[in-house]
Amino acid sequence: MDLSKVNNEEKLKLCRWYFKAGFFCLPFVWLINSIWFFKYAFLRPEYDEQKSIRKLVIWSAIGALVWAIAVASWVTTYQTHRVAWGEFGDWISVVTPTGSA
Amino acid sequence: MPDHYSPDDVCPNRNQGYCDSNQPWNPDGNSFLIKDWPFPVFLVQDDDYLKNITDCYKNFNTPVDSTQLSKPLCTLLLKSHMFAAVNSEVCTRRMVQQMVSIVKFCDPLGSENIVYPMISHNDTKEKKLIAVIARMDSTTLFDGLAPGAMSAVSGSATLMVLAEILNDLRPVIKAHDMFRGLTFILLNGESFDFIGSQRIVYDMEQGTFMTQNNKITLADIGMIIELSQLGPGKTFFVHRTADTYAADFANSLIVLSKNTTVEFKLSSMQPNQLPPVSINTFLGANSNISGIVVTNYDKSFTNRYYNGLFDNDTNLPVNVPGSQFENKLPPKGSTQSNLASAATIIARSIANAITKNEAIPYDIKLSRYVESVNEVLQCYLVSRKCKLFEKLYPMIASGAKGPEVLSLYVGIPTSVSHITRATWKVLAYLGSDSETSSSENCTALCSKDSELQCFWVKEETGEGKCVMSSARLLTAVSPAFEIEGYNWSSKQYSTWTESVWADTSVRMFVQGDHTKELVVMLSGLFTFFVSLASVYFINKNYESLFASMLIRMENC
Repeated sequence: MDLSKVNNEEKLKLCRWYFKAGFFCLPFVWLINSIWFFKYAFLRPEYDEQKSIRKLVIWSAIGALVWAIAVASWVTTYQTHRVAWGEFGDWISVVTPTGSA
Repeated sequence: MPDHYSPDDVCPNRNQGYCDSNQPWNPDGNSFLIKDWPFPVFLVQDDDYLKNITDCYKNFNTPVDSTQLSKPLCTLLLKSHMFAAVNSEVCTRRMVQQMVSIVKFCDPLGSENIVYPMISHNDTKEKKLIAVIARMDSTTLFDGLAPGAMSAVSGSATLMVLAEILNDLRPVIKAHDMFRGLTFILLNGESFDFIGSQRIVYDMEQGTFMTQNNKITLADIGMIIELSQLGPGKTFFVHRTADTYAADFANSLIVLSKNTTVEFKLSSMQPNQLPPVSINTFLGANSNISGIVVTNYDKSFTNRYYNGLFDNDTNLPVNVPGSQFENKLPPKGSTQSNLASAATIIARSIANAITKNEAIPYDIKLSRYVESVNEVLQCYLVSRKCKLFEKLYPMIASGAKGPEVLSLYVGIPTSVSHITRATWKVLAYLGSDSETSSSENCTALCSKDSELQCFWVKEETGEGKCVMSSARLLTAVSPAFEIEGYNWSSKQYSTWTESVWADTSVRMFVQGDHTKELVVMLSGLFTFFVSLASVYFINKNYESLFASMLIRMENC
């Protein structure tokens, strides 16, 4: 969809819809939302819906960031502690790499 | 050949038995087998390959100095990725728990033991057994290469011929009162913390050892005689437990060896300070058993290549001068002659122990057994294309592929160990009775006695023989893998496993020097950025660049 061909009201609707969708554990939707509407939230001359879009973009970005931090820290912990966790570590693993540790 | 090389521990199988670290059994041991190697190790035996590698090294890599930084270098890429990680407990557990894809990480080591009850203890007055045992497996660092000439074959070959001698004496023995039964056991996986003997002891404790009609428990065993690392010399040392029965038996060996070509001596170690051999497993479970270990060493191994790749027919020489052209008997003083002589002496002592009557005359023709020892040793040490294997197990004798000398590595239970099966047939063939028959009638001969297993052999003369033997193959996998919820840290049983691997390879190539690599890298980067910039430029200015084209397209 080409956002430049959509009117502002439609844009806000779309942005809000993406923001809500992100709550279903879909951080990539938030990420896309924040990038996609970034131009219309901050760079375009002011229009009626811009304030709302800006708010949605900021919160989408924050949500995506929190997710990224959470996932990154889990992955780091899992990869570095998988062997030390022993039986539990193997139990939560879906694919165990072959070879050393 | 180095003058010593043993990749095993200085105290082999040190978790069991006696070993003084100041005066260990295997002083040449460098423990390569039990080290964690962080890189692959390959053995190159092909002379052409070796020459290629050394030539490549000499041409590109020498001299070894700073000039190496600026010239192309000969490189070997060794690939040997092992799937298993951490330890046996972890790799076994992971195998069970894989959810999505089924990946096997490791297999328990194991194969089959061979048990041959020659005289049942139920037929004797004391209802006790004499068990003659020897181990038949060896190992080295390398796959498919475990000759174990002195480490394993010297003992197992002597045991097979000992079974032949005692089977020949059996009619005479049976004519007298018998006090003790007799069983022969060839153990597998002993190089890896006594897998075979631990399994036998476990099965005995569970009451599932041998057949329903001929159960053997630990309490049935009176004495164990172990043959471990014998020859090539004429001196044999007797190690024993501290009881009088063992002392008497050791003494009878020494007395009987007088005025023969070989010499039996009492070990200078204290009684009960037994070598690192399988008997320790049985004594650990029942200390009332009398134990005798016959070896070629006193306080430490005379074998300088214990469980090593050089433990071959040079270490235990079996060459018979002129044997390729005529059926010549190995001369007096040869390995074969010494082992056969020792076997006759042990056979006499065992016969005396069974009958408790030293006056019985036995007619033992040594030359016959020297020939047997020779035939067996040729098969295991010189070539699998030998008379016995051709007759009994043509599959391993006839195949063109594979090494001449078969590996005695225990392997994993899911793949049949042909050398073990062949050994079972050799023991049965040498040590049991046979009847002339056609191959069709052979199975019928066995149907009347469930204890017997029959197989048909075609002799060189063309005559067919049906071998009827009570020798059996029994699973030799550590009890640790049988017991549910086994406590891995208990160290009670052997837990050795073998990693799964996909492929191994060695690749040799010449690696470019650093300047050349840098040039390639930089020109790549240059091309990348130039194309990036031009694409951006074209994209930005396409309207003016392709103006004429665009107009034409709009027109149509």
